[in-house]
Amino acid sequence: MLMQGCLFLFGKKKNVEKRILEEAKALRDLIELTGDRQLNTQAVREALRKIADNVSKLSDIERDRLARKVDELFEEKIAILRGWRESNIRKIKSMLKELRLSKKIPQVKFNRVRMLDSQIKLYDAQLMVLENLRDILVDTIQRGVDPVTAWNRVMRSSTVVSEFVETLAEHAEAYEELMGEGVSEEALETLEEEYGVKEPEEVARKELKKLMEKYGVEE
Amino acid sequence: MSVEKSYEYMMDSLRRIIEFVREISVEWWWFEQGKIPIIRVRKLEVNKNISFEYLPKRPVLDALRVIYSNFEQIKKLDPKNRVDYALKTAQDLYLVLQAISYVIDAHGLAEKIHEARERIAKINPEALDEFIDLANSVIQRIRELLALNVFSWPSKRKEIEEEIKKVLKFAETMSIQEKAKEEVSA
Repeated sequence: MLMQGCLFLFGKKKNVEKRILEEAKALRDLIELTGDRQLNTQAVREALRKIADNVSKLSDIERDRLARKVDELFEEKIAILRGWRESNIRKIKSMLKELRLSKKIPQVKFNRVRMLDSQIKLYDAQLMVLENLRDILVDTIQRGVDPVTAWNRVMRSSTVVSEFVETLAEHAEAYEELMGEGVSEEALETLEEEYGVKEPEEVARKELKKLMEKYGVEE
Repeated sequence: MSVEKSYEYMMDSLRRIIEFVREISVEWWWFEQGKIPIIRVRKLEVNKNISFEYLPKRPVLDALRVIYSNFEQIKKLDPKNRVDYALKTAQDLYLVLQAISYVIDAHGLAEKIHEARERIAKINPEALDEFIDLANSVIQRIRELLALNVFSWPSKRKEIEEEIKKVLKFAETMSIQEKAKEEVSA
């Protein structure tokens, strides 16, 4: 009878762990941009609340083990995104180098550079949310915080997620504007400095150059 | 090592080569990030009949992917044909790797031009346009040479190197002139 009880309890706890892991995975995969799996703050809040409720049923050892698994789960996706980001950075650097040897910058190439830049910024935003969510989740699971504290963290994460959604909206607008814009030497220069293809000019020198132009003084 | 393991080892090595070329070709700013078609390879297709035909010229990375797919197809063949097509595909692989080594070599030279451009931009920006014209003509020549016949690279390399020396010499002269001007005005 006692044995049966233990097995029942053990099985139940395993189920809780499995459920939490599935919820964490679903939460991780919510940070997508395409298809019907677009980011939904309500769903994120709901998933975090469920995890916080379920985790209170587990022991210290179980929570610790689970936290490590959740950490790995997020780290897997974070590593992939970092790889894509890195690859795009190398691509944009290479394209900027090419444009630096052009007298007239082709519109198509300029647009491609701007799109790559937007993509990199999008990866940055995704990474930021994933890292924040991971920290909140791991903390919640490891310390087995009570639902009230967890809820506060959920609210904190909602702010992070909302900021992310705002960034996405900004980038969507930027994409639309991009197609209609001509080649902007200034924008290109900023990108070259941002990705280290060109050494940034000293601020004072830049200001001086502007003033010289303004008052018609030859440099 | 079993036959299956040897095959897996070879395919794994090919995947690593493809990944390596994908990584380095991104850096080829003067060569459309490696997207310029420069080499012809044969594609093996095994259906009811076997076909092994040359494809039009393609970028090195695509050519490597065709070779990878050939080695996958080879598994479907009987032992006699397998050896025959494996050898032919290996010959193509050798040529693609040779072509890649020439592009890598050319990249080293193109990088010198880029470095000189940055120097000029810093020291004597007024000479930049003239430098860009000169540099672009050499870059264009390297690009055309490789696109036309990549295997002519070893015989033309010296010539290209001389042209690059001229570009670098121009950059150096411009820098010296600018320094002299600064000294005079000081």
